Amino acid sequence: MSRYDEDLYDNPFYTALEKNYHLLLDQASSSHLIVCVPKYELVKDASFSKTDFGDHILLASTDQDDSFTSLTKHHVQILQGQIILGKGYKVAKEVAILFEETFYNSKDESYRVLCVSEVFNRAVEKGNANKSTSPDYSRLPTSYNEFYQLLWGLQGSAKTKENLDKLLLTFCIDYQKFSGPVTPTLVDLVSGQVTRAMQLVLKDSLVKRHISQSDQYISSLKISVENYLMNVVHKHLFATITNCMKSNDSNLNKKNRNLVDTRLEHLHVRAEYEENLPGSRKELSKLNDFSTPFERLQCLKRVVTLLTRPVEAAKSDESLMMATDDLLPLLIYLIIRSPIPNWFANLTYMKHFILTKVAESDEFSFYLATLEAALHFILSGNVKSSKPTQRKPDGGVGRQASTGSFTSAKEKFFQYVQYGDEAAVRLMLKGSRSSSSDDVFSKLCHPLCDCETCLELTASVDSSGAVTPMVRDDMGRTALHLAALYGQAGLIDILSKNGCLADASDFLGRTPLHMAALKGHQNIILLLVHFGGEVRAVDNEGNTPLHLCAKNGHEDCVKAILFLDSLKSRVDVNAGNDMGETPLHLAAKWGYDGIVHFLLECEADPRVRNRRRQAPMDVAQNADIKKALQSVMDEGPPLVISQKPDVSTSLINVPATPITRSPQPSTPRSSNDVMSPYVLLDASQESVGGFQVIDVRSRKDVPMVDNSSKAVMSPVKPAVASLDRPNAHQIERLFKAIKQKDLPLVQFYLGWVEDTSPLPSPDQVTMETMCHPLCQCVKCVNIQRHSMKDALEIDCRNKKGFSPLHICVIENNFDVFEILLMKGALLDIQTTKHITPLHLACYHDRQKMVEELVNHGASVNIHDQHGEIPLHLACARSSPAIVQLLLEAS
Amino acid sequence: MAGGGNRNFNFKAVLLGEGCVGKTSLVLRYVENKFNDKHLTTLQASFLTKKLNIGGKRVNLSIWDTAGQERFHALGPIYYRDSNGAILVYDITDEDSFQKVKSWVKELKKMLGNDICLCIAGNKIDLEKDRHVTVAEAEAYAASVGAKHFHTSAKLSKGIEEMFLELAKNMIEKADSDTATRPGTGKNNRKSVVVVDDSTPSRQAGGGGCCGGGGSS
Repeated sequence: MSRYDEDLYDNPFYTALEKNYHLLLDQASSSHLIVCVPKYELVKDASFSKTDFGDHILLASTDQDDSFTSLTKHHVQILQGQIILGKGYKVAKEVAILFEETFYNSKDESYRVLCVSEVFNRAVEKGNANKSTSPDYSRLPTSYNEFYQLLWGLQGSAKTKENLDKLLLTFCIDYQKFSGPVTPTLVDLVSGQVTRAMQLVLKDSLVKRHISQSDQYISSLKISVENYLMNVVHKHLFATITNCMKSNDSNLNKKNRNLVDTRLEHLHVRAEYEENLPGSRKELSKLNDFSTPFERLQCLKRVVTLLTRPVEAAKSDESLMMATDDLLPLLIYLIIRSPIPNWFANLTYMKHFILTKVAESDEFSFYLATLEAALHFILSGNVKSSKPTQRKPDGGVGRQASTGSFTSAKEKFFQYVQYGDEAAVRLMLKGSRSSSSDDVFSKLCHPLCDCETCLELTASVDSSGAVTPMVRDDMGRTALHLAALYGQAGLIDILSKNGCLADASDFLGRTPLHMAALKGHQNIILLLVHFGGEVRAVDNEGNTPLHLCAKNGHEDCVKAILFLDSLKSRVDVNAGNDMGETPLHLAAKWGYDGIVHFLLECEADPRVRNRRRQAPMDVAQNADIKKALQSVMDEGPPLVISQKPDVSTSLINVPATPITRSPQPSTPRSSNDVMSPYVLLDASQESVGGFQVIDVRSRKDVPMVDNSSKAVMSPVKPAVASLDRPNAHQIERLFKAIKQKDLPLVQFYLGWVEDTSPLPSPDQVTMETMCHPLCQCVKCVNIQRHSMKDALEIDCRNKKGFSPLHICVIENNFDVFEILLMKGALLDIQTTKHITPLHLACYHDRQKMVEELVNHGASVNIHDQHGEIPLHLACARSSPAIVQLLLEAS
Repeated sequence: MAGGGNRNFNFKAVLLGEGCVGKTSLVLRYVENKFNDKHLTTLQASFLTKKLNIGGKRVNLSIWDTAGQERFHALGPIYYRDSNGAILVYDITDEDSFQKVKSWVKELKKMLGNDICLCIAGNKIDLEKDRHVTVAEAEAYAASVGAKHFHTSAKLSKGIEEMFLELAKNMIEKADSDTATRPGTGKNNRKSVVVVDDSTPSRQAGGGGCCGGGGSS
């Protein structure tokens, strides 16, 4: 695996050959000879005779592939990268081939040149003389130890080291101040630092002497300095990169966590390659142990080398030669299974922060491209989508192979469950249908029909194909497990009512709730809990369902489970699994900031340590999460989590509110103090911490009277404010939901059913809208829960007097806006500054909303605090359409 | 000594083609190293290198196999960006594979414009009797997109060396004309063309760093 390279046109041996024995080379071209050239250092001062050249030019023998004859008739064998000198040479020895180069002449004829490590027919003294001089720098150092040795090991100057270390410490500070994109700004920063470090090192007199002695020294030196620097600064540098890549990484982690059950065959990997996987997997898991990007890349290279090591079967089967189509899926598989939570940060680190070019740069960039391709493939979600197509044929084979009617009924049953065939499942559970009765089934008027003919037909079928609700598959899973796994919400009801136990556990100790949590089916979690699923159930690894959805990044499920908690206090958010990890550990580790904030809000304790004595802080990769955890740890209960800036990750759904951990009203003063730092959200949205709910009994009568609102809203009413605080959070969440256009959540907070039909009476949002008083569908369960709880009033307002309608206008959420109008929200509701929704609609130039408001009869002549009516604002905005609407209305 | 024209080139060539067209054996045949064959250290044909010396110009050719399967199609750009040349392989007995080549060409032209040298290889000419892609059609198509067409057979070891040689020459030409028209301003999407001035042994200039014993004492 030598990386030696030299320009043969500088090699005296070759140039002499070319100059003086041109004919030999011509002969070499026309008869495909092999020319061996000793490496530069051996021949730089030597002179050669014609015999010497003859010794080094080889002619392939006709009978055997690997044996050759030199022009001087000596025998040579070439085996395994070695030239074995045989009969005729003075010394029989093995000479290593350093590299091969194919030369083409102007007639496109070619001959091969092998650069070799020794002169063929010379005495050995030359080699000895060579060894006594400076150490060999032809091989670049590759590990940190080697870098260190090269810099300071031999005769390195202590003074230089001291200076360099001092300099590097100042670099660390640069990263703390750094802001901007990773590329090119951060790369420039780093390369500037390397240049300064290099300057410092080059001032050292010992180094200067070395450079004059060896041409290769400088490249070794460069890479050593770079790595020495990286090793010192990497913590800061890599943290900065990690932070920039955090949203990519948490997206990838979510994909990865949900793919952990991926098997090799899902990726169409040939089973023969499996043999190399354990070794490469182990190597890959070390990636984050290396500090410098160069060492990490070396690690990646070792992974690929291990992966592509010839397997036993390949010796007889040439088609097993691994192409990219094979390598890529293997790497994808390794990445999915790897414990590394910051792949994109690593990719960026290796791709942009190796500044010195090395001979293998091309090879390295190939590895990086493969890694990048693998990450993007996982992110694209295609790993998952190719799964069902894979599974179906498998199922088909299984069905053909099985003969017993019971097995086949069971398999069919599970298939129906998987694909959500409610009618068939129902029928099979009734035990009235045999597996061999497809024809009968097809004759029925309707799968559930019970007219006489159909009853006869179904009765005629023997019931041997029936299944019990407790039937299990080869993983010990019940039908309910599968329904939960594949998100068949409709089946949960049927199966549960037919006697499937919600708490059955499979071989891995997982209950259906675990399955739903794994896959992120929020609706199913709610249903299962309703049917008695135990949210505290632990699987074989000690994970509760909450662990699984925290690990897999299913924020909505985390919310669902915690919501149930607030109702029934059944969940222990700080439960540890067998590794001692709480849900907070998992969410922090994989970078789901939304879940972390939500867990903290629900009193998850950031001080809990896992078996490795790590607190969630220690496993978090993402600076925002660390900050959130830190702030909770610093302040101690009652805790307030600092408001999260609007991060560009799609995962976040959590209200950006001041979140208190203690629901009890504290003293008025302190409650205000706690709120005050978080008062301002942004310029357009003035919704704030302290809230007020106004009981509006006289809705639809007159516009809310100013002084009443003033009185209630005035900030110095702490008693009321603190009493209402739980509700205040609710309002904040509602506003957040409106902002995020999360219609179902808005409906949930307002206690509405998912009914957007124009039935505007607010009274209808009650039990009457349920399918049936006892109905247990998701929708109705929510209503039930909510009717017991505190659904928010449609005209609830926060401290500044903003109502949902205001927020809809600000956030341009037309859907909710329309529903609010339909439900009879107060049109002329005013904020503390007397701003009506119409004012806002004009200000934000929302023509459609203006139109709706006016049509519903909103007053166009209300003055705000500055005496402006909506028309003023519309004119200021110079939007003629709105002006016209307002004029028509007045 | 070839004098002032002595240059080092680092080229990246990608190999495109459906899974079954035999691109792996094609490239293996090309870089086949008689001296390493019996001692397989790796099992992979996804990244291979070959050193060439064409009329005094040193070419370090990296050959990247790409993911050819349809499910990986979207990842193509990650592999072929920054490449200097592409070899598009089809199976002469398989019309579909030829259509696939056409779609690759279209994509490459769209993404990389004329910055990339193209060669189209009609592989498996040892199966001439099962030919489904006519010579005339293939050659006419290649000419229409400015690509060179070659008839190859990995089995018979035909046409392969010629093809890579031609591609290398094209890439040298392209690199030469690029540096001639834009002296100094290296094009940013051609990072892999590294022209190392041979007379400076120091690598601080940030060059390829691939020539070992460069300087003379």
